[in-house]
Amino acid sequence: MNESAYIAAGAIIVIAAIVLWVQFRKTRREVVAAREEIGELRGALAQHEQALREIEDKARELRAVIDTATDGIICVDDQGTIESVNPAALNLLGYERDELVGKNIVEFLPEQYRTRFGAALTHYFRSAMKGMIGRVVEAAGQKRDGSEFPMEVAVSRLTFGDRTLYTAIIRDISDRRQVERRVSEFYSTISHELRSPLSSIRGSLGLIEGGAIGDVPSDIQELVHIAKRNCDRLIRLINDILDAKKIEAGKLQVKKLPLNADELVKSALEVMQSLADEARVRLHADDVPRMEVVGDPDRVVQVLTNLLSNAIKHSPEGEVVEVFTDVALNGESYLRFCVRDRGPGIPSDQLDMLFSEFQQLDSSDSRKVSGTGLGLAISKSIVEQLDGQIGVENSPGSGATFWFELPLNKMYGL
Amino acid sequence: MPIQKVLLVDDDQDLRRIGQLSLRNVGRWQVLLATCGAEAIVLARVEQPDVILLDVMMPEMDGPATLVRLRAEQETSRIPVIFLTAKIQLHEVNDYIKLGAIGVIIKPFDPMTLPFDVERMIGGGNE
Repeated sequence: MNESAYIAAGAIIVIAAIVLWVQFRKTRREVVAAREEIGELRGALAQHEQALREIEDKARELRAVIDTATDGIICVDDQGTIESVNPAALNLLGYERDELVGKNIVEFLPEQYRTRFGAALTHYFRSAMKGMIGRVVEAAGQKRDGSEFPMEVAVSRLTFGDRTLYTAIIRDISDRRQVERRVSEFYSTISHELRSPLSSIRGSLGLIEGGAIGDVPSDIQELVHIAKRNCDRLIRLINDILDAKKIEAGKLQVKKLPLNADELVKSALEVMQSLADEARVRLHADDVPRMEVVGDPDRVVQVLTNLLSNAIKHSPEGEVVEVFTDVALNGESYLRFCVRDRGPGIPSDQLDMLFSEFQQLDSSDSRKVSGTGLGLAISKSIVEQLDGQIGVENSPGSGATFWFELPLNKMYGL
Repeated sequence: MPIQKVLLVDDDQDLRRIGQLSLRNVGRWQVLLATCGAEAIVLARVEQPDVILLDVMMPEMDGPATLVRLRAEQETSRIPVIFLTAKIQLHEVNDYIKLGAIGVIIKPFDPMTLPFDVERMIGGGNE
């Protein structure tokens, strides 16, 4: 081989070596990059595994909460198909899990709903579920043995993409209902047991005072009058307490009848005249228009006498308590009854609690001014049930004007 | 039709006496007294009062049960009945009216106005 051939071979070897070196460097870089990538993937995988473990832990926690919850929890899809039921719901309803899961919930609704809605039950149920979201409502439930029970239901909605799930939390309120019934019976009995002896006392005193059993000496007449007045006070106290309990239970019922405003004011003034006379306070009523309002006659007179009684009790001797009405307020659809006194007025820091229960303002005054502090709260409930409003215009130091508004009959056309 | 004879039914002795004085001295009516539902049914059958004032809460046969029995018997079915009750829940009052009572007088009643309340409910007058 000649010299040029050696040179050419050497050049080829050098070039090949260079190419190999470059390729080696490239491959080494690729290996390092791949190692880095594998490391990153391992890290990401570990993170995913950690997240999965956390999700599994949370799911276990949630399952434990659902399984140990004392309230029944039922999950249904938007067609009403039961997806899951917790043990409390199974226990409450008396079913096994496989008797419920996969079935439509309307099959398990009480007979009363099936009878009432018939073929429209599924439609009714779907709209009812939507209507119950975010609220707690009372409904009837039915157990496997067919017995019905009162329950409280709270519904929430979960959406996953185009899939919707409703979760209903149900609570058996039979015990609470029973307690409510007992409390109601208790108050009914108390009402009877308190009123019966009071009826005898008041009746006896009324017969003597009214002269139905003949004339009595004036001293005895005066004592009988004192006894009768205090008996009436006790009766008012019992009535107030029973009314307050009814309001608390949401059971204060009122009638809505057309009533003449002037007759209501006249009745209330007649009732309160003796109290005003004893307090040496004069009652004055402006000409009340013969307009018809809508209300419950006994209850409206109760509100008026309550406002008058407060006004008399807080008026200095010799002062006048005025009753007047105004029709121009509130869009001329309501009649405003006002009772104005010239007493000390109401301290401005006590105005907020005026219509709350058991609020006798300024306890230092309580010996001078008797009462339970229930009257204004009861009046507020009555007026609001009659679709009216109640309030006060106050001038500390120079009196207060309590008012309430009732709808005029032209609104109702009764 | 003017009222002449009233049957007052109450298990409370004191209230019977007060009611009797009120109806007799203020209303000027003849007053018959019964202490329980069973006695009231017998008296109503025999005496044919113009109106019966019937206490609601009585042992054994209460007022509503007595009214049902009175309505079931031919001789007493047309006698007007007014309930006397210390219970003032409106839904109960409506229940009493549905049973066939012509009115409800709430205890404690005013003995000086009781006969006038009865007259108003009967829709007649005592001449």
